[in-house]
Amino acid sequence: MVTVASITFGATSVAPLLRPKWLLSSRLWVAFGLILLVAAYIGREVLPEGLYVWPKQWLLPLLKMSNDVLNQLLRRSEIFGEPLRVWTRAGGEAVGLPMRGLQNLLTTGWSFPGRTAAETVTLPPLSWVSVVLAATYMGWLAGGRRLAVLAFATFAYFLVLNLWAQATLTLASVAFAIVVGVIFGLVLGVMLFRWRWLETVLNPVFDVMQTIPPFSYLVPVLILFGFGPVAALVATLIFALPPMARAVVYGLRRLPDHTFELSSMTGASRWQGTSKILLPSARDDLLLGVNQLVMMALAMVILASMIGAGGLGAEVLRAIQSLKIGRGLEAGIAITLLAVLLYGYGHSIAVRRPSHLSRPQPIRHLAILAAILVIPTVAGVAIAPLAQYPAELTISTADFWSRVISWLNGNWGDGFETARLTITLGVIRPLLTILRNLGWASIVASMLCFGFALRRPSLAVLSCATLILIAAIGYWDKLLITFNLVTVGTLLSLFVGAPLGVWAGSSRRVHAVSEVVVTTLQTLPSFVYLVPVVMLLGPGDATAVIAIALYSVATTVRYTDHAIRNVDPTTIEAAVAFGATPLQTFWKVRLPLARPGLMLGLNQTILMCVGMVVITALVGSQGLELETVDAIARVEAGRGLLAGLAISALAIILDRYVGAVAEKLNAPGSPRAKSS
Amino acid sequence: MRFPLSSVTLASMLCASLCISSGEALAAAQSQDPVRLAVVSAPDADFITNVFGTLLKKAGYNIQYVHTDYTAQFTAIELGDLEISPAIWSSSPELIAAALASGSVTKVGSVGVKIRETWWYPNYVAELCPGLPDWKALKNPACIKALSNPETDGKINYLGTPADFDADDERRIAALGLDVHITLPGTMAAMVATMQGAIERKKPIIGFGFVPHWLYGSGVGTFVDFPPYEDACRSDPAWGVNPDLVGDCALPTGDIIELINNDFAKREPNVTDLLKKFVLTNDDVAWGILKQDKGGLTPEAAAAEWISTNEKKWSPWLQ
Repeated sequence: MVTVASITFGATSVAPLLRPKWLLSSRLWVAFGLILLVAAYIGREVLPEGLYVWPKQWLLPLLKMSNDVLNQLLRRSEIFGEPLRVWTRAGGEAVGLPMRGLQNLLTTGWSFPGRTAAETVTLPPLSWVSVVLAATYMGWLAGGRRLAVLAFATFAYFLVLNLWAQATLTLASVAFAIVVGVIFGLVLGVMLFRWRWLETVLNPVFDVMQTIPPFSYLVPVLILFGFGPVAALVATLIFALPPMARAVVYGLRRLPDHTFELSSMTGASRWQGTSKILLPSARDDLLLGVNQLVMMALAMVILASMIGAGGLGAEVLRAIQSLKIGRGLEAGIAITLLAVLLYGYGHSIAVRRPSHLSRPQPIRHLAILAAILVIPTVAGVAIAPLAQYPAELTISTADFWSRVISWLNGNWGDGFETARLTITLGVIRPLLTILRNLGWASIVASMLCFGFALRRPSLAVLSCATLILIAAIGYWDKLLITFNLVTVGTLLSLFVGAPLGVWAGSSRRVHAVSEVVVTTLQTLPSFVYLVPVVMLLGPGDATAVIAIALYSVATTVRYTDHAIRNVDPTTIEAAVAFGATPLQTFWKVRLPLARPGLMLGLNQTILMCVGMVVITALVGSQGLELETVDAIARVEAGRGLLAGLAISALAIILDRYVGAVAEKLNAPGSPRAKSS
Repeated sequence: MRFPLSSVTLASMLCASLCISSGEALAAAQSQDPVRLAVVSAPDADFITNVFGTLLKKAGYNIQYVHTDYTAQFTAIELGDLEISPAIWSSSPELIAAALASGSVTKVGSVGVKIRETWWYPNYVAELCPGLPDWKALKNPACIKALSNPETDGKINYLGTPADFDADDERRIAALGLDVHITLPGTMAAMVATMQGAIERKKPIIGFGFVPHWLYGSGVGTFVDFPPYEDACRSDPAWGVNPDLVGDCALPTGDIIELINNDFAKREPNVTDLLKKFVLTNDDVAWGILKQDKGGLTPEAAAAEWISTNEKKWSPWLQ
């Protein structure tokens, strides 16, 4: 089962700086910041307008400039007389070669174009019987009966729901992306571990890679890597690589000293030491990284299909765009199943211990696998049902789901309408009005004060500089809209998710159910439930907020559950022994002890909300996220990239501030605890 | 079969036996490098693309359908990652202009299908706004009230278009003096989903619509009649009902146009010729959409059926 999924930011837990003499006390700074905000709000009518809305004559012409620069760089720059893209594409094709082979093997077969159609030679792909049996057999070898059943059920689902071609295509590209991601992640992680200075360079880059909306780099990736699976691979790696690399660094850092001593005592070379002793010892943390990688690679499946990767993502898109909700859900669930299965394989292989009772028989296993792969495939040339799963044996649940949505719409439509109006008119719009009445100047200045209060002067100054830059580009109001959506989304997510998480944390049975639901919510492509939500609620901010909350509530539940569950049971027993009532135990013991984990959960929820906010542009939200989508539609890659970077900056600033608050709450002594 | 790539596979597997017989008689392809066509997950455009792809196959070409985002295909044709797109809607002029300006894309012509796009309402709305489809009915206070909601300050809630459409709604609303608030849907999927959701519960709604399309062309609704478009409407304020403002008219009738990558066009002049001859009617496309939406066919199956029942129409194109 997939465990914790999150965007794991790197070493934010730099030891608190020594307090410089000139810094006032924290409380004074907080008070000062608050006074600024209140003063700005009250003085809205009196103070100069320039403090609220960035003056037009101060706007920097960066948007247009970025378009020109990017255009020049991507389309016209040359290396050794060849356009840049010729080089990047050649590199991409070389890396992607094994993936094409895998796709040919599983889905498309081979076609060697001759001069005419008659001379074209084609070879069929593997028979579905071979793939199902091989997957099941490998599942059994790697993880025993449980994994074998899971593998069989997953592939049977693809067959029965008529998703075979799409699913195997996606499987080939995602599996390859994961393998490449693990390799790159391990290499990067070890490098970061060996050379600490590299971290100061790469950490901000990783932060941006993780938080920048993929839409904003779609056009550059398309130009540099062409159209199709390789471009999709690159886009996936940009998004999914940092968590893996960070998990490696984190795991290696946490190793006790004697592991390193063992490595040098046994006279292992650097390579041997790393590959045979250090990495295996850090296995649990590496697995967390692999888990993240699998999740994120599958989260990119929809986007990948927009740039020519095809597969399940394309099926989801096609179904949803013609409002075949049920079909979209079927394909979406296939993506979820793939995530669970791929993680199951990775996990089983990693935790398998060599058995000393029975001798491994690799040759026998290989022979069986070869037989499974070859015999049905060859037989399929003569017996058609072996090559192609008979269409008569497929079913569809699509009608059922469409009817569910129609029923909800018909019977509860007015209720949804009321809910939408309440959220929009009662929460989103008033909050936005308040934010606008605060103005950029007071918000930036108070951020500076709060940064000082948190004893992070450099963070404070950097954040403020970034915010001013965003305002100077002309994105201040859009930033507020996005921030407002994130805030309301986070609140909604906490409001629903925290109680559920507490419930799941205190009951084993609820925990089991919530794990399944949470995993599904996190891996099901958001597009699948986004469009039904639009059908019920109509486009706009309320829909955006609900979509954001639907996605991030999974994180809230998971982290709350984890934090509550991990409280030391002996402390609870002690509290009970002292005669504390269940309520007292919960409020006075369990909750305070779980605080570090809860704060981490809050942080992750906010990040998930920022991550999801870009998708809401697809249902009519109007902030920075719209800029990234709109810029592509108007062929302004530079503008899209800048808007994406602004969203990324918002995410990073929020992460750092919440992280700093958490650290201050957990102080003294303990660095920001990581509850995984 | 639900997926073009797999049908390509199947087709190429069977090619040895089938292609020879059909390919020989027709204009011979220059090479067997795949000709890549964009499939954009929209029933209308995908039907056109699949019909053209099937024709190319009959002419002996090796066809590959690539799933893309509608917007992304422009970059792809420009860079030669796709060879042809036979189904580009003229209503996103900026994308088309940018592609043509790059110097590596040519507009071959139009498919012959006329696009009508303007405001659209489900038929039951006519009862609330007597006088529709004439646009003046939207000035009736009772109609405005029925189509408004608390979010729009008593104005008509009009469901607008995705960002890349050139709908000219703001100028039209101002010039015709309509009391309208535009709600933006973000994407086409959201726009259609909103309309369909409202229709299901018979909620009063008005929004942008266009044909050919599976919902807007299905007969459940009607287009609003604005003053017909003339070029003067956008340049001369004196034109039309409002003497002071431009934009007091409907949108011009649009086309579905065909784009081709220049290098490919040079290499394969026969394809350009075929593209020029390739003409479908609105009825053809409406038929293809209906087959997918109500008949449950995939775009490629719908195209195959069209090909097999319309041989008279397409066989001269391959001469």
